[in-house]
Order: sequence, then C-alpha cells, then structure tokens
Amino acid sequence: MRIRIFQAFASNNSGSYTIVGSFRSAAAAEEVATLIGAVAQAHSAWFEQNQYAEDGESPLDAFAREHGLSEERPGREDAWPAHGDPPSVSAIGHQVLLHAPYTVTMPRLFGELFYKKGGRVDVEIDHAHEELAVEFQFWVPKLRFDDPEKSRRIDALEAELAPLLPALLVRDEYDKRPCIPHMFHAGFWGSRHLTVVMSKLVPGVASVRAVAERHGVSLGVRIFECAHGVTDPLASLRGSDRPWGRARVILWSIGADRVAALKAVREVRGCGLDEVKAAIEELPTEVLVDVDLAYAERAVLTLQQAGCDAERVFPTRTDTGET
Amino acid sequence: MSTFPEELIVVPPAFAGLRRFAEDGALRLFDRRTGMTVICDGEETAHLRMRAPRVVQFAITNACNLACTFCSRDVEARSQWTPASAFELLKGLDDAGTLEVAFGGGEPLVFRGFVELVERLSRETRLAVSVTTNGTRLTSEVARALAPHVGQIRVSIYDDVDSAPPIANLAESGARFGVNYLVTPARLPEVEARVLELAARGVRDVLLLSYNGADPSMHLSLSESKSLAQRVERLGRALRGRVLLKLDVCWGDRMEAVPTLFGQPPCGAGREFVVVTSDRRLSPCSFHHVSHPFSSAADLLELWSSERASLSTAAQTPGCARTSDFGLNRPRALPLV
Repeated sequence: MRIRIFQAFASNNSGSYTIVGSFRSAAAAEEVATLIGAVAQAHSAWFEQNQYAEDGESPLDAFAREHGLSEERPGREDAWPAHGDPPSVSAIGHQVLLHAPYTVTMPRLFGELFYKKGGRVDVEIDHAHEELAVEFQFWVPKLRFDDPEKSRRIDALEAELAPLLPALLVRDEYDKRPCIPHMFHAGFWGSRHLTVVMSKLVPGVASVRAVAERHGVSLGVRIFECAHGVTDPLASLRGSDRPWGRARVILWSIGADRVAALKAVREVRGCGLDEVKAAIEELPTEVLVDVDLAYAERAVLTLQQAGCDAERVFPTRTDTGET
Repeated sequence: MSTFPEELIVVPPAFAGLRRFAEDGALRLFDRRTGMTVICDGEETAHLRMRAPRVVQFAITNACNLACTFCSRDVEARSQWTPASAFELLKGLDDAGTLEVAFGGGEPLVFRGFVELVERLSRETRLAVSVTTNGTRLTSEVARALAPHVGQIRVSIYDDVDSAPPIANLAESGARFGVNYLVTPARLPEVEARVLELAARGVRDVLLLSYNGADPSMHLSLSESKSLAQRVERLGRALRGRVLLKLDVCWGDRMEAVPTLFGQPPCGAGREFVVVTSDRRLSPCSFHHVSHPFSSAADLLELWSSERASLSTAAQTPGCARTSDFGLNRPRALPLV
C-alpha cells in the first residue's frame, strides 16, 4: 500500500521559544540542563510517534510527576515542535538555556522546574518571530574588576573569538539578508560584553562558552528579541566610535561662551544639538562614560579650550592608565 | 452497528488516531486540528468508495461589509440559515463522513452567532472547521475565541483594507492561519514583494487565487500566467521551510512550471468538495451556474449522488479549469436581454 503524507491546512504561526534560568551554582545548572536534555530528547521521539495517536503517559508526563510539576498533559499539540529541530539545551556557567527554533509554544513546566530546583527564570521569550540577540558578559572569577590579569584574559578571549564568530552568524540558504555583525562592547563598571545574533542559538552559545573556558573566563547570557524590520538591531551598541575604557569625564560648569561650550560638548559626545542642550541642562554631569583614558583626556582638553571646567576621573586605586 | 469498510484497513500505528475517510479506491486519514493528511492506496483500498463529499464550503451568508468588484456573490440575497439549522445540516454531513466545513460568504463574521456555531461544531462534531474572512471583523477577541475551535483561518487581503491588524491578531491568538491573495495582471509585478512582506509579518501560508469572473482585465494572459508560475517557483525555493505557497485548483495547467505535490489533480468540484449557498442550494463550486435546492443533509447527499453528472460540468464563468481554454477565448457576444 502506498502512503503519502502532507499537511493540508495552513501551517501554524510558529516562532522560536527560549527560556533562560539562573541557579546558585554551575553544578546545579548542569544538573538541570542534563535533566531537561534527556526528557526533551525522549519527548521529541515520543511526540513524533504519538502526536496523532496518543495513548498513555508521555515522557514529559512522567517527568512532571517525578519532579512534582503541576502542568497537565505538557508538550502536546502546539506545545512541542512539530517540524524542524527539536528543542536543545545547554548549561552556561550558572545558567541553563533551552531553545526551540520553530514551534508555536512550549510547556510551562520548564520554568516551574527552574524554581523547584532553587533557580529562577531570567527570561522567557515565547513565540518570537524576530531573531534573538545574545549578550554575553565576561568576567574572570576571583579577580578584582581592575586586576590587569582580568583584562589580559578577556583580551585574549576576544582575540580568539573574533575570527570564529563570522561562522556562527551565517544565515540559512533561503535567507538573503546580510548577517548582523557581532559587537564587543562595555557594560557597567568596566564589564566586558559581546552581543551577537547567531544562526543557531544553542550551538553558538556553546561554542563561545568553550572558548571562554579555555581562557579561564566565565560568562553569563542575556537574550532579547530584535526589533522587527530593523536592518541592524545592534546599531545602538555601535553608536559611538569612542574607544571603550573605564574613564569618565565630568563637566562641572561651562564658561561665558555658551555656544563654544555647546560645540565642544557636541564634539566630544558625537551627538546632536538637542542632546547637548539636554546634557548641560543640569550641571555638573558626566558627559562621557566608559571611554579610554586617552580619549577622556583629549575630551577634557577640548572642553577646557571652550572655557568649560571639566575633569576626567578614572576609577582605580593607582590610576596607572589603561592596559 | 455496521462497520464501514475503511475501518477494517490496517494502517501504521502512528496514524491510528486519525479520522478515516473513504475515497474512490483510496483511504484518507485526517487530523482535523492540524490538517495532517495521509493518503493510502493500493490493493487493500481498491474497493473503497466515497460516500459523502470530503469538504463542504459553506457560504453561510452573502452579506459582506466590503463591496469588492470581483466578488461573485449577490450580497442582497438573504441568508436562509440560522446557527441551529446550519449546525443540523453539518452534523448530518459529519455523521455521513464529511471531514471538513470551510465557512466563507459573504463575510462569515457578520453572520450573527457565527463564533458560537463554530464552537459548537468543534465540540459536538468531528468536523474540521475552517473560516475565510476579509479580516475586518477579526478582532483579537474574535481570533482568540475562534482559535481553539478551528483548523485554520484564512484572511483574504485586499488593496484597500489594512490586513496588518487581523494578521497580528491571528499570530497572537495562536491560530493556524493563512492568507488568500487574488493575483490579477495589476498585482502580478508585486507578487514577490507582497509574499515576502507577509512572511515577515508572521504569515506561514499563502494561497494565490486566480480570478473567476466576467471582467477580462482581471484574468492573466498566457504570458502573465507563465510569469506567475516562474515567480511562484522561485519564491517556493526561496521560502522553503518558512512559508507554504499554494495555488488554487482553478489555475489548472497554467501553472505547469510549478512543482506539485502529487501531480496535477483534477478539479474536485461537485465530488470531492461542494458548495452550500446562503439560499440553501447545492453547487459544485462558488463560481458555478449549476445549483440544486435541498432541505436536509440527507437531501444534499442524495443530490450529491444523483446529480453527479451536472455537478461535474464546467462552470460557465470564465476562469474555470474544466474548460480547455479556461473560458477566456470565447468570441464576445452582446448580453441577451
């Protein structure tokens, strides 16, 4: 007997599903990732065989019962990927990342499991149509934020990652949009970050994690859905060509020539006139944050030449300069 | 209790839960929620015969809040249906084996009690329920109310109606939905752009419709048809895995360049699917001149069987795939008064 199979109806409106949880320890995260990985694999196999002729307990039913999770009949119908890749999971330091690239939704019980295991949900993005951006934050365990060794290790990590990243950005064959370039950037208090839109989320994150581990660098992830229709969702991170660093510039007051001061502030911030006017509305103010020392000193000189009282600050004990 | 012959055929366990439907010489297995379809044919199924139309297209009302020039309906005609009488008919057809009802119109969402009717059909019959709407009344509340009870919702998009809100409402509701897009000579150059735009808005299913009607300016010429086929073939390759592109059966062999799933099927109007009109008549398709009045499901099934010859004729309306030239090259004549 010949058997032909097809989907007669409109396909459902699929998107991606992502959940990230944080745990007290890397060991706890690893344990939860292992648990989810095993049940996701078993349930995917069950779902493929039973989605149209369901009978009896599914692997997720058993999992929910075993772990005291409340969701009834989880992972059925639209709540499990019917097409494409099954959900994949990975532990990243203290975090667990679960991602299904093409599904209507996923069961709620994974979030419940996170809390049961002493963790919490960092982010859950259900039914995302747009690409997901991953922001990695790098740090070196047991080293102070201003320890030169920290910068050396992260510099080395970035140097090794930079040539590897383009391969993680490659789009599917049908998707002719240009890849979104990755971005190394700074966070609060000198933290070092990488934001990247990867074609395969979980393998991509695992690749970055593997390189980071080789350099003794820990990482955490934040994930967000890119805005619709934006050519470069990371444009805001690229808004400045100022070199990153830990220096800041405080503008205490402006001189008699207000126009000259406005021009100088505009020059050092690289922004429009409205923003400059707003920036000097209430003085003193930090006109530059997280720039390198040399840039900060040049900015101070520019501001002083325009009659402003400006000062650069550098948050280290020794103030020995940038590495 | 009698057992229908299709119930005795052994199928792979993975498909055991699907509803069975006897076709002529084949067994169709069907999941009403997803539209998953399995067609089995061979010696084991050679004896099977269809006992009811597989799909009923139900024009439950001709009333519509739009006034499209290409529409084939008489919008002044009053509907002879109530939610109760429509349910009674469809329950009877469900019992006879029909798998699907596809509501259209007119605009089905202007039919009073429509959402409740869909919900009742979902709960009390085995029918898959589909709805085609112009989207203007598809609020987020209506989309959410329909979503659990329908197989799919299709939105017909028009140049002068903003389809973005209903599409967003459907995407949010979790309903399976697709978009119907009528391809005319004027729209042909923008087919790719429009389909890609729909894909970006979350649409995963686009049905490209051909025009059936008397206005010659709405029909694609032979060269335009070939152009459309090439565009569809290219789009199909580009969007594989992201968006399902479908062509309605009325395109016939004009779309030869487009790969088809199982070859070019003959038009199933009047046999595989029938149209129930708002004035309670049975017709082969929405554009057909033949129609027969009926009173009940049993009556409809009797007509479906006894009027097989008239229901399998070509429509007189230009655009019918059952005519060799789609009725497009007939000599012009003045209308008879």
